[in-house]
Amino acid sequence: MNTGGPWLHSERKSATDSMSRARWPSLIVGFSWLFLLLWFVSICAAQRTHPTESQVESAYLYNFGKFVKWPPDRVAGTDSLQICLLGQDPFGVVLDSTVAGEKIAGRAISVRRISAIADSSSCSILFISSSEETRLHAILASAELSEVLTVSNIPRFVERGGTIGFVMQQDRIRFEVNRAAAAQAHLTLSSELLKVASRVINKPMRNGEP
Amino acid sequence: MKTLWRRLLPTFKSFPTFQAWVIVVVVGTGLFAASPATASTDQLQARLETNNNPVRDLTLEQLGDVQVTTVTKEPEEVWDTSAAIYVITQEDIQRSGATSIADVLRLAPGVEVGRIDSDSWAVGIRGSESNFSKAVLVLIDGRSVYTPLFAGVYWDVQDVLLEDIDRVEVIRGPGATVWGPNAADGVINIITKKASETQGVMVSVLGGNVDHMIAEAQYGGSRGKNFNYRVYGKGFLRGPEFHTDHHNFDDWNQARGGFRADWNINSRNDLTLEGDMYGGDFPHETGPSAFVDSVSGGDMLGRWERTMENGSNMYLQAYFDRTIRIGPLSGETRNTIDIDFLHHLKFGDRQDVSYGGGLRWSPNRYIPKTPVLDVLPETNTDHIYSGFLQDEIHFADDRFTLTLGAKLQHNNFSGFDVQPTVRGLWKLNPHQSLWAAVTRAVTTPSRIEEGIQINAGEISAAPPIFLVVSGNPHFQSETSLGYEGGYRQLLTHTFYVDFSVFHNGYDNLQSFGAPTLIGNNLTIFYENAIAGTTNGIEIAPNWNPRPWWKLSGSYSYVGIDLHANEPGSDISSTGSVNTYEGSSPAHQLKIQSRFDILKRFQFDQTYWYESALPAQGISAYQTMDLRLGWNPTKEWNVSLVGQNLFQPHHFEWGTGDPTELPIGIRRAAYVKLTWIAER
Repeated sequence: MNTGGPWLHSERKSATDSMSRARWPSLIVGFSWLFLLLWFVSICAAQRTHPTESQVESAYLYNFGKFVKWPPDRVAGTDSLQICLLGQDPFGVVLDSTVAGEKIAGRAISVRRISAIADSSSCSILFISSSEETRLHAILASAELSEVLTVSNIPRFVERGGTIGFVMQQDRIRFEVNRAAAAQAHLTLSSELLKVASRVINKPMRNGEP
Repeated sequence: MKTLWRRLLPTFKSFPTFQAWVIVVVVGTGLFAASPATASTDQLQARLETNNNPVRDLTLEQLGDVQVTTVTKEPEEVWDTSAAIYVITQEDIQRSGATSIADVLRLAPGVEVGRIDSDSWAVGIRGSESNFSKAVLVLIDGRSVYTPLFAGVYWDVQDVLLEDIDRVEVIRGPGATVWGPNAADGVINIITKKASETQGVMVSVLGGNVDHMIAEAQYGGSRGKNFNYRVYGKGFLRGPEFHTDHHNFDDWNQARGGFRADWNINSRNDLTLEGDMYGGDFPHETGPSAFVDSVSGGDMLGRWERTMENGSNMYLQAYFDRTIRIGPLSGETRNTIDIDFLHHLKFGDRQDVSYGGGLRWSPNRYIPKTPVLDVLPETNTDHIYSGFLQDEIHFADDRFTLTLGAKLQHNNFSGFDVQPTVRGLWKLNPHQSLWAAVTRAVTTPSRIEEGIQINAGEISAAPPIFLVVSGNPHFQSETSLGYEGGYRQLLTHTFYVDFSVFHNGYDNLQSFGAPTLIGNNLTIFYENAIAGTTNGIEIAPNWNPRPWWKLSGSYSYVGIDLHANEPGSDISSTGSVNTYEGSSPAHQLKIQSRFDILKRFQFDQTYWYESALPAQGISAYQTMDLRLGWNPTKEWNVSLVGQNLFQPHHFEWGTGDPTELPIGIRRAAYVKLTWIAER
């Protein structure tokens, strides 16, 4: 037992005897073992391809439109369902190509990139980029958000008042739902959406509070 | 146990054969992993070629089952931190197979961990490795666990259920402004999961040749949506490490229990209450260097967090901690009461101002058990009062952040100390950031440095002269001035690299003065007569070549160049230039590789190399841990872990006593069964 004790002892005389014995052979063997491992694995690894996060999240954004009902006055008079991206765009062309030419309930889907929440009045679905995390509170509190489905992959998005939050679980993208946030935005979520969600919470966001 | 072990794995006896054995396993696993993909993957493959987005037409349920190529993501806070921060996640811990907090810390770059024997560790950051783990602040859920007796950490009693750790944030370099005292070389911040994240029942049992038994049980429940709690119990029996003289004194056992409750009062206020109690025994700690044979203690912490409009927030925290250590040579009892307060507010659009303070009282008693050793005064009340102010100013659309801060603290040993810091962060783009900092930090003196009395005995009979080593009531704070910088970049969507460099100037480091004859006592005093610099770099890449394969690692270098300001300071295992310089590895290499195989299996490897510690009489070593994990069902997990596999035993730290050989850290293996029923 050494803790608390070393001030009693005088210093070890010389350590050079044990130090000078070269340990190179074992080092070289160790490293070559490691490189063999890395090389081998990279070869067998090169054989499988998976979709990217952007592809799966884009597919979700497209699919959500089928499971959410907007208030009738919102739908009336518009022939398109707008998916808006607020902040830095993580999708690039993937989202556009996912929804290109697609329709949901007779409404064409379009993608629009916006830089301020004030521009979101015509959006049906609003994806909030993680670049906006520091401003999330203000964004979610904005009156412009009534009747908009908010979606994001910002951590704890639904706890912070968002409606649908993406979460990564064992390299799979799942989503969480805050029913109270949906209700506040006057949106009706289908039971199928709620069933598939990895977690459903019901936490209202009061005005002015995060 | 030993015979069974040998019979099961006969090839373990010789290293080269063992390597061949490992390669067979690895190659086998690789082939296994590369075997034909399942039908659904084939379909995906086909769609990848025909459609821009192959998963577009999947149902919501199917989407949730698609394995994706993950971008290497450091937690968001890492990008915004102008310090060398590294985050060890729960997954890192679980897949390392480590069974103690000190061993978990090996995963972080630039952190030096040497296991001294079965129950003690020497931990340091950037060249401060010592068996006192000095100058590193260790917090568990905001509770500081360093003892003012020797300004270090009793690693043997710092424990939690490792499954409950959410993350360990390791900050290399001085982190003194916001964090508490003693953070001159780094901060280790252990954060446990919220009670809402540990709902349900967890039971785990581990058995092996060195860790004989570790048993854990936990229950997490709730009252309504907003009140969650958990209670846990844990006990272990750990066996001795390797002793050349077969005097296996370092087996030990410990039991602990505790709880955590989180109450989300409303969307603005959160209350957390947590507590632990423990007791442990070191049944065979005997002989001249045995300082402890029983430990017990407990703690209770309450924290109130309040979030206000426009992102302002505050917290108020108070805790009580009791530590009792009794051994054949000495004893210590200590009660610590601590209150901390922090308020963070937005000042216009551009400024984040934080201020706060802390009060800590620590009445304690040193219990002498032998005339040879005492710490005076035997009863004392240590205190630290501190206050800090910090302003974070954001420029150019948040792309530049300048942080100015200072901490003023007062302690009973050395009076007032000022610790200022200036930090800058430049986010070139979302995937690239650059930072630099200059910080002054102090390590406050400890009771030992101020008041130890070692009566080393008579060195001359006529006239009678006695050798005495004595603490120094005028001992000052050790100071450091650190310059550091770093660069982070997400190079491709699967490759992340973190690079940092530092230069620290030290002054007033503890030394021993020249022997002075006072009456019949030839006295050696603790002094502050060592100064010098440390320089180093750390590179920590992180690569996810495949969704099922993750590679992370680090290389770190530290060069220590110290000099005594006064002659004659070279007599003990601490406090000499040689000891400081030769007790931290100059080079460290750590590589962790993890495979997910067919959803239910995990195969993980951890390799590390540490260069020699001349002052400890320790040669360079490299070794490896392997872990095979299997989830037969959602509830069950079986882990088979081999540790320190490259040699039957290796040495990590000296004893500081020429009459005692270092203790070898043994090759180990264990099986762990975990059953989790989430609610």
